[in-house]
Order: sequence, then structure tokens, then C-alpha cells
Amino acid sequence: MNPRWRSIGWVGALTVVIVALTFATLSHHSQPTNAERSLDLAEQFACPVCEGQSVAQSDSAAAVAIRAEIATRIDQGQTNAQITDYLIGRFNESISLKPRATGVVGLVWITPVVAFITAVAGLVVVFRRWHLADVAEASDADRVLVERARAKLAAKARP
Amino acid sequence: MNGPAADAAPVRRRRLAPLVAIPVAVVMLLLVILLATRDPAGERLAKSPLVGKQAPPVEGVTLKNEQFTLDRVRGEWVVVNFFGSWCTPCIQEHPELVTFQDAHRSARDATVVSVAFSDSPTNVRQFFEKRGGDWPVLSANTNSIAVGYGVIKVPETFLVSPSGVVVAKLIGGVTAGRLDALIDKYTAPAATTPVTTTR
Repeated sequence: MNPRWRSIGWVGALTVVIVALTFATLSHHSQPTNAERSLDLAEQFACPVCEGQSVAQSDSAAAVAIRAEIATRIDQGQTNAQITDYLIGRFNESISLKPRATGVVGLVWITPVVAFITAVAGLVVVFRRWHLADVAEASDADRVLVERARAKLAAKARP
Repeated sequence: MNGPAADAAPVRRRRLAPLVAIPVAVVMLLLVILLATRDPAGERLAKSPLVGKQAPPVEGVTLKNEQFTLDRVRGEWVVVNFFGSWCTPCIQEHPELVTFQDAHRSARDATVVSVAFSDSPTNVRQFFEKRGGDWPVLSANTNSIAVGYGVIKVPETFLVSPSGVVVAKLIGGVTAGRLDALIDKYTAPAATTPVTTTR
């Protein structure tokens, strides 16, 4: 097959994949049903009585009550942020499995980024220092040594 | 034939024994100290984001088929008690609530309000018929009230001041004496702010 046509084929296939993925992603997130929103939110809160389970996963009485409350508030037209604020205001911050990006809790998000940037900057500085250390400058004594060696070689080369 | 190598093993074991025993003894000692200094099991003051704030609504139809809201008892101390007819500590604390209510009946300065958690009206009715208690009891559609108070595991009790502010959250079974002591504490002139102490 002509390489040109082969390239066009690949570009076409790639375009189809990107368009399909974009469409699937947008169509999924544009209009979630109340039940989907309810489940999604319930997965973001920790069951207050059971270790390691979300409100969505647990069948404890507290989790069941919280799920029902989330569903009621979604049906009333409240936003996810309003419902999150309400539950944190009643149970405290530990109920949230997704720490907020504001206040002291925001450090959970910021700290890894700052640590990563600091680590990369540190590595850059260290590598630069190593690189500069490798480029050694010849001293006058070195030059004298080299000249002597050259002179010896030249003397040997003479017949 | 078992010469020096065999003799060395018991010596090594003798040296190893204190190295293992001392850390184990230290851990055991720390455990004993921890358990000895902990609050006793049973009722404890607990942290709650609601303490110091206006009490969330408690409203609904009581077992006597009357409409109830917290506003109806404004001006009195209110003991909002979340319970379940299936819960053993709730059964154990119930006589204490009866004693508390009886003690304050004539003065009308404090009342209990019970809110059933994860329970059926039928079971709650039978619970009160069997164990007594003459105060407002909400048994239907109480999930929202429980979530509003951040209830995790019954029994949980909230003490609400006459002005409608939550002053304490207690987890585990309460006693009439403890409730009276808290009311005295927060009624005293020096008591300006509610305490949000230990769990």
C-alpha cells in the first residue's frame, strides 16, 4: 500500500477514536440522573461506623440514613457542594473521603505537589553541580606536566 | 562431641531472653497505664460540630399522634435522645430517662425527646408500653433528624439549652444524675461557653 494512504488511514482511525471517546465522556458527564449523582456522592463519604467502607458500600444504619438524606437533598435540587458542606457540618471533616482543597485540609493536596517540585528542583541543582564538577580546569602545574611529557615523546621520536 | 558450639546456644538464648522480655514488659506496662487512665466505658462527652450551635430541627408526629417541634419546648432544657428498641444500652439507660423526666415534670424546666433510629413505629410503641416514659417520641421518618444531628451509633444524647443551643453530646447510656450535673454546670453563671471535650 502507498505509504501516504497508510498514513491517512492511521490519522483517520485516530480521529474516530478521539471523537468517540470525547463523545462518550461528554455524554456521560453532561446529564447524570439523580440516582447516579446520589451513588457518586455516597461513594465520596466514609461510613461513620465501619472501617474502610464508603456510605455507598455499607449497610449500617448510619450509612443507610446518610444515603437517604443525600437522595432527598438531590431531589430537592441541592448541589453536590451544598450536600457535602451539610454532611461535614454534621459529622465533621473525617466523613469526607475526598479532602477539600481549601483551608488546612487543602494541605493534603498542596503538600505532594510542593514536595514534587522541591524534589525536582533539588535534583536539577545536584545534577548541575555534578556536571560542573566534572569539567575540571587544567592548572599551570598540569600544563607543565603535559609539556614535559610531550618533550619526552618528541625526544624519543627523534632518530 | 557437642562441645563449645552446643554450650554457646544456651548462653545466646540467655542473652536474648532479656532483650525480648524487656520490650514486651514495657508494652504491657504502657497498655495498663493507657487502660487505667482512660474514661470508663459507658456514657462519655463527645466532640460534635453541633456543640455551641443552634439545635437542628426535631419535628414530626409523636407516638401520641401529636405534631412536635423543638419550638414547643423552647425555654426548657431538652434531652434529645436517639435510641433503638433493638439496642441493649438504650434499654439499660431507659429507666434513667424515666427518672430524669419524673424529676423535672412538676418544675417543667427540662424534658426528654426520644427519636427512634433505624426502627419501626410498632417496635417503638411496644418499647414504651413495656418500659414506660411519658414524653414526646418520634418514630417515623426520623432518618433525616438523625443525620441532622450526625448520629453514628445509638444511644446518643444531645443536651439542648432553653435558648435552643446544643451544649453537649453524650455517647453511650446516660444517667439522670449525669444529665442534671450537666444542666447545673451550664446553668451556673460562670458557664458561658459549652465544652467540646474528650471522646
